[in-house]
Amino acid sequence: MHLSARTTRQPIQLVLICVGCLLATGCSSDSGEGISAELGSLTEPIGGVPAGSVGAGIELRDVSAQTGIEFFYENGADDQANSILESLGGGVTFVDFDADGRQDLFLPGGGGFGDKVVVGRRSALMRNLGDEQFVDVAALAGVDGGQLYTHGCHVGDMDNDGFPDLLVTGYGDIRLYHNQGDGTFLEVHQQAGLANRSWSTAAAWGDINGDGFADLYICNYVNWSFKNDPSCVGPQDQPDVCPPKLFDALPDVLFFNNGDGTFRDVSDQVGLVTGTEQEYSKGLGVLMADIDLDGDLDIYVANDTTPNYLYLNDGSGLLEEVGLIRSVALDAQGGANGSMGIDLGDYNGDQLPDLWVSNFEQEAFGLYENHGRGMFLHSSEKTGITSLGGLFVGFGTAFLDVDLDGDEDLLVTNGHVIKYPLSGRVEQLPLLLVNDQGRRFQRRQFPAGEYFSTPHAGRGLAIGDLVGDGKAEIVISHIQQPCAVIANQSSAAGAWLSVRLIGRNGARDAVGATVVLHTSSGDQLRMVKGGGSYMSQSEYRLYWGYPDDSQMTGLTVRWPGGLVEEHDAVIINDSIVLIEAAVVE
Amino acid sequence: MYNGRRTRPLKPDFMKRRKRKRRRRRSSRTVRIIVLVLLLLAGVFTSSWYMLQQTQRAMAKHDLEAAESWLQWSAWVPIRRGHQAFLRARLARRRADFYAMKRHLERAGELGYEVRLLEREKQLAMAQQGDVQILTTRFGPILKEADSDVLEVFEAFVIGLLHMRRYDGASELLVGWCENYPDDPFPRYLLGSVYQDQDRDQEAEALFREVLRLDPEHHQAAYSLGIVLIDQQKTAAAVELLIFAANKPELRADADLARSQCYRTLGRTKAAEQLLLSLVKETGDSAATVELAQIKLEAAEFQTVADLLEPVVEDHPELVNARYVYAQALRQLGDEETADHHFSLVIETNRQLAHANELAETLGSGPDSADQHLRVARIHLQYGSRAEGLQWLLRSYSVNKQHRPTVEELVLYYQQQSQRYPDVPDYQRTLDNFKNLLVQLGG
Repeated sequence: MHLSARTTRQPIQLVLICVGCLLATGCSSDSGEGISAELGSLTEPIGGVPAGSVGAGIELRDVSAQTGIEFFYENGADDQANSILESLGGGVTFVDFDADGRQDLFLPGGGGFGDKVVVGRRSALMRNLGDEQFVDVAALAGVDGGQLYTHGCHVGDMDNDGFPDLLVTGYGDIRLYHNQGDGTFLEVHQQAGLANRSWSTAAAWGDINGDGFADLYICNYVNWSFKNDPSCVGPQDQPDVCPPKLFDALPDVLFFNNGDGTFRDVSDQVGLVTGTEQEYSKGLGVLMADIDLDGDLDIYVANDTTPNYLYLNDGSGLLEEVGLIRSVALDAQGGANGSMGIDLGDYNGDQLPDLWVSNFEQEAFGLYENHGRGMFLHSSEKTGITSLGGLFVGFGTAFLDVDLDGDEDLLVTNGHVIKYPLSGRVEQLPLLLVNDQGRRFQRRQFPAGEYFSTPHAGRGLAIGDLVGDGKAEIVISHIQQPCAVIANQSSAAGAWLSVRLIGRNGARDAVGATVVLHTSSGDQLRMVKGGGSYMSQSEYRLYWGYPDDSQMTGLTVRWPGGLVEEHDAVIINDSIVLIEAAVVE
Repeated sequence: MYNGRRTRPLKPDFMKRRKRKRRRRRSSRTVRIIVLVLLLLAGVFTSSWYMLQQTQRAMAKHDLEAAESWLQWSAWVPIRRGHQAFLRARLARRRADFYAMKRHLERAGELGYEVRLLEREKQLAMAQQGDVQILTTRFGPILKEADSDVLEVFEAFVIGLLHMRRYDGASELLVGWCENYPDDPFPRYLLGSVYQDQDRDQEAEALFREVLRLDPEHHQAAYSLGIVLIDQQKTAAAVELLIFAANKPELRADADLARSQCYRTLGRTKAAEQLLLSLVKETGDSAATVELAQIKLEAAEFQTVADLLEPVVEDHPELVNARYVYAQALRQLGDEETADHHFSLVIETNRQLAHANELAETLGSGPDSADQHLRVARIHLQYGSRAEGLQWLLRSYSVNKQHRPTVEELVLYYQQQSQRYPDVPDYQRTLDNFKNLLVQLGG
């Protein structure tokens, strides 16, 4: 929980304000109010929901061993450079690169440090063979990289040819792997005009200017280099990683897709914030979606220790940064947080998308409830998020209806960024926050020995259907540990539906589309999002769950170009693909 | 024989006996009176000694109110005035009322109290205020001659080190103090506070629990333990402690505010709201008002939020959270221009305070660091709390008493304070002192 300014005021100040006054003992013998009665009422369930029943039946099983995925991200910590670079880690990406109908996984490799030199490490492209079996084909596919110290990978179909392309971020450069359609890629970032020599972290694909081709937003972090490498220490003076506040910001960039395999930098023309002083953007997460539901694509950026940005699109691709006045830039106390992961979802079922941000320790994770008219309010306190306390350093995150009860729950992977935190907890527990009917979230506890009851150095998180059963698996990347593949084997009594949209009049991935599932127990909004989480990419597929006793009555799809389609005949417990009807002009 | 003159008749024997008896009675009465007087004097001396002993005992237990009572009683006894004055000075020092301390020490000196002890008390006062030179060079020598005042020395130096944010040094002293005095809750409380400040929650929790074991009525420890438990998500347990802590009037606002936040965390928003309404109504506490406003903001009662916070924002410009919540309410009410103005101030304030924190983290403690101390002070004075700003000004002064810009800033500060609070003579006295210093520095 985030206490008010006064209650968290340094206790030393309380002592020093009045040495005599506050330290006097032997005070009133008044024993005060009925403590037992007060305590008893605190254990009453809230809203009539018996304690412990929320999320009953949820079972998330770690099936990593079956997949054979042993590849893991290396950050170079063993090289003892103690660089802030090693604190970020890498993400995980779902991509059906060979269009065989099975989701594959791209895993950035990270890197290390030579003699005052940053070196890269090869990445992995885990091809899904079915039956939860994977094989690394990165070298064959031409995406193993190796020279670049990598962080994230983001999927977008830059030429709308049906074969997803990959944008890989990293230190000092980026890589654009153009899918050749035959299981191989060609690295073309220079030919494409994607010049970004900064330290890139997260990225998102989406058609910002509505020309039918996916554009690219790239977050850049801070100006660390071996020439700008201060020394920092931990609580016992051990050498440790420095915090971002010691560095200047690096501006983000937005590239518009020219539609011919090339891109142009429009950062200065469309209204991006491009300052480089310390208080500007230190981007670690970016998400594209129609946040204000006006039919165009907006951008939300999670910045580390500086205010987050909300860029609202005027429809033509011109962006206005309104994070502050829309109350999504800061936390409830008006402070900027160390924001890392993002997602967008309708937690309370009011058909308005809410923003969710995972933050640094001692900072509540931010749930920004959409109040309409583009206004948000920080609702972490109201929804019980602050009861998590300040112990977690949150990274990859996603909304997902894990228990198929019709409301979206929240997943977060956590892990500290420095080697010697005061709390002593470098590896931290991941979180499943179960949504209690859109009112509050409750942390789900798991039996000992399970993945969610074991601490990890978590970073990326993405969801997608690896198995092909229509339900989403959760893949979480770690530092110096193989990624975890978590299968949802909950015994929830609910029905499900998953939908993949294919755009025809706009960009193929249909980022920006909104889909509403109509059921007898209410409507559920889902949105196709570019980017999101932390340096990771989920499958471009939407997932719903709803109680068995309610009936699905239809789907309404609003495509990015404005076309609205109604679908009445939708089969339950099914995974479908909807293709946008061609607009004949 | 009758000789024409009236003479006294011869006293018969019984008369002589009666006279002897009378003489005996008079002498025994005299003796009794003398004895009574002696007993009275002894009683007076004893009671004086006893009351002063009790005073010192109360101060050792940090019960300054009791110490003051005993001193007031001892004032009725016109002996050991010098010692009374000395103890008054010590009590004033404990209360950080250094002007009063100075007056009482002077009085004690006039009454012939031991000069060595008076000088030592002055040095303890300087240590307590964070005088770097005293802190770094005089601990050993003073402790060596401390006699029965060892704990006074420890306490003064620890508080001074904490003032100067020298937490390692303070911790070291406190650890030793705890080890040597296993039944003293005071150093445990201070050490717990240091650990709490450093986010070492488990260690802080253990110490606060130990304090409460030693002194179950230690309301401050109960409050601090409550906060530490909240930080560890032991919210329900924290509530119990906060209820107890609120029984102490000076802790009530803080404890009730923290309890309201616990209720919100536990989903009991109504209970939180009721508690805050009561607190705001009775005390007008600004932090409670902001907390209440946040609840109202979540409930979309934007006009109520604006009404609650307008005076808070005006009176407490340093409360960034108040201004931010206020700005959000204004925005929702459609007053975009005013909202934007406040949003901008929030950003600027955050930026400046972050900069102050960065400066503070790289501060040295030598005279050269006065400039940087002063920069931090000015940021807090302009954007943060005046109390914090004053702390930094005093630290700057402490590291370099010849630093003219610091003294100028102190003159300005106390000018403002004496204008704002003309009924507090200490502000004017302090202002005069710093003005004199400025003159000595050549201004």
